[in-house]
Amino acid sequence: MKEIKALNKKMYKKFNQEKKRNNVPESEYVTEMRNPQNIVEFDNLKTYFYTDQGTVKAVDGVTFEIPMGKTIGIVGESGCGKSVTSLSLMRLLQGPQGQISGGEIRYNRDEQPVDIAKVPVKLMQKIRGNEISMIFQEPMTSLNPVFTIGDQLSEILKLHNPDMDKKDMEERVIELLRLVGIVRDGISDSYPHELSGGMKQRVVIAMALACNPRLIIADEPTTALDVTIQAQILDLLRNLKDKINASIMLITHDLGVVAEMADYVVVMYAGRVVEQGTAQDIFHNPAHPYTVGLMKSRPVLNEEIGRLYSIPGNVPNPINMPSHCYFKNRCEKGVEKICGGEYPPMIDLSETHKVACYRCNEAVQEGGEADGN
Amino acid sequence: MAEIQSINEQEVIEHEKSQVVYTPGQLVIKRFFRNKLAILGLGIIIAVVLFAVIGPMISPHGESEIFYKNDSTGEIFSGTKEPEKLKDIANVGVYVKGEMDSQFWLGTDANGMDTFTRLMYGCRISLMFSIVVTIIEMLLGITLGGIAGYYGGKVDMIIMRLVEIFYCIPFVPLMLLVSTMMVAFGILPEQKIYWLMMIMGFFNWSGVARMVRGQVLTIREMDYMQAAEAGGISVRRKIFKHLIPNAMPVIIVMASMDLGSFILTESTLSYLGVGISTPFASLGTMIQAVNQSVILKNYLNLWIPPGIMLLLIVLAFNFIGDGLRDAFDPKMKR
Amino acid sequence: MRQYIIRRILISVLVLLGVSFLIYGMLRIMPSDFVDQLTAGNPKITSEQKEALKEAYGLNTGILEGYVNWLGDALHGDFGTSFTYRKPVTEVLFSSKLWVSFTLSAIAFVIELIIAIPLGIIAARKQYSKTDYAIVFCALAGLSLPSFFFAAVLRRVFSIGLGWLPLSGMVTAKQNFTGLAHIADMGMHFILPIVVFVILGVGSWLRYVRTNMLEVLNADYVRTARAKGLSEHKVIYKHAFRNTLIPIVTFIGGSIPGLFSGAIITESIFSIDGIGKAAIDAVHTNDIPFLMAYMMFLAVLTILGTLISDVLYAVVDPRVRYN
Repeated sequence: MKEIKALNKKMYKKFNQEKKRNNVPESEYVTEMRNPQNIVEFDNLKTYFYTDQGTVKAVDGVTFEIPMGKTIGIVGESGCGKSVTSLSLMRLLQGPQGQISGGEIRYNRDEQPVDIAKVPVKLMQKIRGNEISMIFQEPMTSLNPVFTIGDQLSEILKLHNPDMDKKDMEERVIELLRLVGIVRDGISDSYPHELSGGMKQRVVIAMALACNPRLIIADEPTTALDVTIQAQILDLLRNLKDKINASIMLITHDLGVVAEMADYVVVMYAGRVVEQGTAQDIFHNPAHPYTVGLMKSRPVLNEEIGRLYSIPGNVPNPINMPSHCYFKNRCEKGVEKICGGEYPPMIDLSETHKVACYRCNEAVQEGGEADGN
Repeated sequence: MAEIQSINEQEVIEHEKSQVVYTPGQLVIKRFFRNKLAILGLGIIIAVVLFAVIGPMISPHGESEIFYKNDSTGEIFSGTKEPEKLKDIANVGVYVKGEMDSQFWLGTDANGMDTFTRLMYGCRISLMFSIVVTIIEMLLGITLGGIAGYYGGKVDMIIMRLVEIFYCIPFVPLMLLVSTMMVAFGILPEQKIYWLMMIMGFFNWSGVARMVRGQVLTIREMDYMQAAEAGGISVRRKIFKHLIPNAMPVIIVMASMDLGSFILTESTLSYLGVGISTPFASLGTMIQAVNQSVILKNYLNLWIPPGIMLLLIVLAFNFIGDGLRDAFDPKMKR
Repeated sequence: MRQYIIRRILISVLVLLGVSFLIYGMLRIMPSDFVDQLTAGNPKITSEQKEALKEAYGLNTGILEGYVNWLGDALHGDFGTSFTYRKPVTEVLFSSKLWVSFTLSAIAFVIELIIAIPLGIIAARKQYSKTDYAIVFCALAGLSLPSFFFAAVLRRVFSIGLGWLPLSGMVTAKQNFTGLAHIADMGMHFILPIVVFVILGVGSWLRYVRTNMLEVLNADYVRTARAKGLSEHKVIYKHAFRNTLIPIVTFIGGSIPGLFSGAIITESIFSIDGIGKAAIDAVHTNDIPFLMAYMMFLAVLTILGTLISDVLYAVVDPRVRYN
């Protein structure tokens, strides 16, 4: 108990000092992209929460990339670290507990690529909302109740375009609202509580689009909405992405949404990426037993399968993670001799398809069926 | 396959064992003891209780024992223990505002009584007083608030109006009026304290009732409560298994805060001369001595200790209440 | 909205009736000869006055009849004659005393707000830090201070010990200052009482601001504001603070009537000729008419306070406005 406290204190202090530094030299955060076609590259990202119960490794060594102009879906059950990954990218983690403790988040800025994990706060404020924007999970509470919709929309415009005059701004607000399908007059003078959930989410999306961002993070954008509205919002996102040519990082636990929207899919489990690939790879040739389980546990129309499948067991405790594969205890294919060892490394099944599983490795070596079409 | 599964199961069991799972109660206690101010408050209260309970047993002097001094011999003696010495009328006088020495640690007050001993008795009376008042207030408030919240409708309407009426009556002025009434009734000082307790309890239940009612209402709206009701549980079970345990945190926090505030009110009344009065010791009456400017100026030993004691007790109860509130409120958990 | 206000006012009237009945009832519990008892040995009171008093409270009639009569008079502003001041009670109540009390409380109130709002915000922003602990500690310490003890300490240190400030009263005796000198003199006399008010009162405000700010800082819309790229300063002082302002403004509004109520202890300790001191003087002379009127007055102030804060809440919060 004491050790935890001492460690937390030390870490808070360290991060606080880093946060307070002024005039961070550019050389510290300027970096090189691996692939200039990518907008963001996560490289061994580690985001830890230093809580009183111990250090929670919410994200522990996540590596994947978001190509320009593409939609990437992050899938996994609640608490697997998908939201934390996106909050790390925005640097919006709940301080002082949540901190990026290691790794890089390379962001391909227009001027020069930067490492988000090390960027000073001032620059981050320029990136947020302007270059990378975020749509949050809870539309009901994401808008400030005491400001009108128009105020909240024009605020972000004014912030990132200080030269814009008032008339242009008003026009742009109306244009934005029209873009997300709100055409009612006088909407910009109304307060959030006067709108329905779907309308609010549209406003939140309009806010995210306001400055033509290069990347939109959508954290479960449809979870809180009813099904008909869900479809509308997804259509909207898809169309908008093409219009402004942005990338989308779509976070969801709904495989249906991913299948519909995503070009690439990243499957996360307990703070790690277990499998990643194109949507085809993941949906047609799931390799990791966890992905296979996810696919099986989703209801499919017109198919007699009797009882719906559920993955046995629970996610391990985020404090004191085991050293072996985190999924071992729930895995159907688990073999003590092979899986009891260290955490499996990422192996390439094909150029696009990667998986972290010893059993899949065997299959490859045996010249098995996983050829990644 | 089966082998692996058994190994897996074993590991899962071990893993679950290694995880510490706390009950809500344990969590509250853990959070409470993490709060340094709350621990400090608890320490102060324990020390004061010991001082007030054990102190008088050890002290050689009595609460209202008056000491006299024989000017010619310089001897100081107790009027009750050695009455024969009082006979030397020409030379004997009350030993007022005596100096601090080994016999009288804080000196004697303007009536020739030992200040340190009276401090113990003062703490004792103040603590007992506020405990009794809190109990009366809680009994009334919980019952009425619970009834209002549970039955709702007209009953609620009537009780809530009553709450508002009692809430509007200014308490200290009321006590001023009550005190003139007590004079009219000719109530003896010994009985006065019991009357005070009852009146204070009777006029302070409105806050508790309001809180309890609010709590009961929110709990009734909760999903688990509706689920329980849909399951057809008995009224008794509903009240004792769900409503009371869930309203407890608010009640406990309120009680600990009120313990402090009643001590403050009691001493205020005593200071104003409408509360506990001499010969009984009370922290308020002891501080009242500052109204004599000589004491205010020169005899700090007579009024600073009871003042600090009063401050410490109230502060300690507030620390505890605050710590409890933080410990109970999961929103502040983080 | 209008309907809501009317409903609230009607309920308030009902509550006031209840309060007055309770206060009157208390008077009637007393033994019937209490007027004679109380006034015995008070040479200021003539037997005519005694009769008038008995009649005013309807002591010769039934309790309900007496109440109706008393209430009828009270509604006309007739609360009887004060024993101490030998004037109608209302005249004593609504005299310069009221303004003295109000001035003192109002100055202290403003100072409290100036201290409490920024400090409360700082404490909330740095929750669980040393600064936060220090602020919470000070707030609680202020709340726990017995006013009479604290006043005594202040007087001992600053008036007797250091001799910087006057011990009590409102003006220096036998010095007929005029103009600015007079105001400065009064100011010197007001410093200690105001310090007592502020130190004792600032704690509850601090806690209130801090709790509300904490709640808002954890809200989703604050995160949205950060995600927009707003600076931390703007996030806190525009988005978060605007929301905390709702409860704060209602609380402020509700506190304003209370500024007229006078402070019994502080005023009597510092011999300030306010309404609180008048009340304590009334106790010493068994001035029942004054005490009754004073209590009714305070009850009205309390009701007014709740009324104002409820209505303000509906006005300030856009979420309530249309419901």
